[in-house]
Amino acid sequence: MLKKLVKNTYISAIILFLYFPLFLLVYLSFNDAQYSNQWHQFSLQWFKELFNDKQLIDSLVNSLILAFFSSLIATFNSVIATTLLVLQRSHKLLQKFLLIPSFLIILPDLILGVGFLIILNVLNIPFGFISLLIAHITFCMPFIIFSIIAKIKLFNRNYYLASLDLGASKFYTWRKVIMPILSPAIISAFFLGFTLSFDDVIISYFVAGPEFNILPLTIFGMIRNGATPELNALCTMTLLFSLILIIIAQYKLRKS
Amino acid sequence: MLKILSLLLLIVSSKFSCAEKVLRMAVWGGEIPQSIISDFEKTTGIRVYLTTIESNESLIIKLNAAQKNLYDLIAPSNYYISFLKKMGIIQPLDAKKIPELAHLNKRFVDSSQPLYSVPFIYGASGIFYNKQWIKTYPRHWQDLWSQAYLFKLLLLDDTREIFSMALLSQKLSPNSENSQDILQAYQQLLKLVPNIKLFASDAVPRIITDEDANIGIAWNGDVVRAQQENHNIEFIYPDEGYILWSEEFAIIKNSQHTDEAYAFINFILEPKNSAEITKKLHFSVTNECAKDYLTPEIVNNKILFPNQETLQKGILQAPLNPEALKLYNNYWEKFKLSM
Repeated sequence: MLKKLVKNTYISAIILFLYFPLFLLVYLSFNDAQYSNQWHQFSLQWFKELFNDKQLIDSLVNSLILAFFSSLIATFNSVIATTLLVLQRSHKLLQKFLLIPSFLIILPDLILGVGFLIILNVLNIPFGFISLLIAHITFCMPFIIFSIIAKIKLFNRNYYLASLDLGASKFYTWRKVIMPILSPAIISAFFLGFTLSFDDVIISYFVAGPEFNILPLTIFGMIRNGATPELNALCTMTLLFSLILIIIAQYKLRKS
Repeated sequence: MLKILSLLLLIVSSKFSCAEKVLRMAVWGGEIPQSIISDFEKTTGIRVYLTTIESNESLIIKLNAAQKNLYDLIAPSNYYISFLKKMGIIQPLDAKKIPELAHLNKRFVDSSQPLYSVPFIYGASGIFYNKQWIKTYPRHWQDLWSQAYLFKLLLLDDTREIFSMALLSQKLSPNSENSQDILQAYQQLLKLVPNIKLFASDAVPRIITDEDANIGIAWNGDVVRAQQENHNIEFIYPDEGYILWSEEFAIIKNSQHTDEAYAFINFILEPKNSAEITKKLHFSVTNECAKDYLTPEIVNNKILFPNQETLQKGILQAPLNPEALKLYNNYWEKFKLSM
């Protein structure tokens, strides 16, 4: 009885700790006051201002585009790299292969960012969408590779061998056997990459150019002269959007 | 899937459609209202790419490390201009191309020097207090050391501002590079410790409005913002002097878009547009003619637009030599640790 009580309080405390800041943001986004955190009056004016703020909306769209493409390309590369491992028998190769991306994970973002800065300067690549894309693909890939590999380790090689025995070509097997089994892992890996790319500040800071502003950097620049409640409104919208996605996903899952 | 992809590609490609005239700017976040940028794009047909920076230092890092002509127009603080000039990052300006220059407040334009930058907004740090809670009103920097304000002060989380306050309270120059002066200021600051309630420099209007701190040092713009929602706030410019800063436009050397940069400087200095900055963001603007477009209530706000006599007492922040700067930072860390 006491054990259960302790357990429940502990869980509630953690949930409160995780979600309280979010609730506070949502609450403040409806507050009719620009500076005060005390409740004044219900108002939707911050949402109105948000939709009229071209800079913020622009960088939001840019961030979404960047996150989509960098995660897409990174996932594509990772799928090619990792599914090849299924076809190889030796586990030693797998271990060696894993060293490369794990190195990128350990490396601090700051060093990676400075590295990009130097190499982009040397190669004379202009700072903007392309430079951001290159950087984001690079730092997303290790995480995507690892989450796909976790699934590959559970992959039963006999499916692959059976398909070959039945006369399928390697490519056909890859398309019809390996991909369908791995697809849930690949989709979740894609979304992982999307989130990583969407909220990266440190690396983007070094490689971003003036013509392609992204949301995290715009927000970062806005903080000094006071984060306006527009940002709260933006956060509320994002939360609402994710909530709808989760509800749809749950609904679909229950149906199937 | 293919349809969605091609649609996305279309959106992306539309973003890169080459407009002939572009202007790439880096300014502090929240200092130029969006409406001015949109108006400028509409009237001139120049596409503006605006990057917001969060400190002078990060702008320098960006300019030094990346390609030097990453931006065309930048707006750092006044004391950074001489530094940028020395490093050869910015180009001299042609005063003839900026007709509005004649209407700027003389306090901020030094016509004896070659023109490298044009100030467009300014601010100052002084003492604020909430007259509902504070019974003995402060008049001088020295007053903040009074017993009456035990555990009440809000201090800006900024090395230079706080040391300037301490130096001014000792009747020393806030731009002093003398190690004796700096040591004296540090010892003075240690005496202030029991009075300090908190340090902040980001959410100052919120702290003042919500009365989390009722007396302390703050920027005048922040105080004006807080006044919108709490009418008990007062602000004074201490007689013995206070720190003034201005944000100044400068054009990067080798910029490909010099004409567009001049066009923007002229546009933002137009009285009507300058007035917009004050109306929307509550900054003091350097263009005196902008006052014609503001309500008397705003023009007569002594916090936003101090009279010329008060303005003369303000001391513009000057760049420090590296040794002095290091000394300031060392003492600042020690001071923070003694809290």
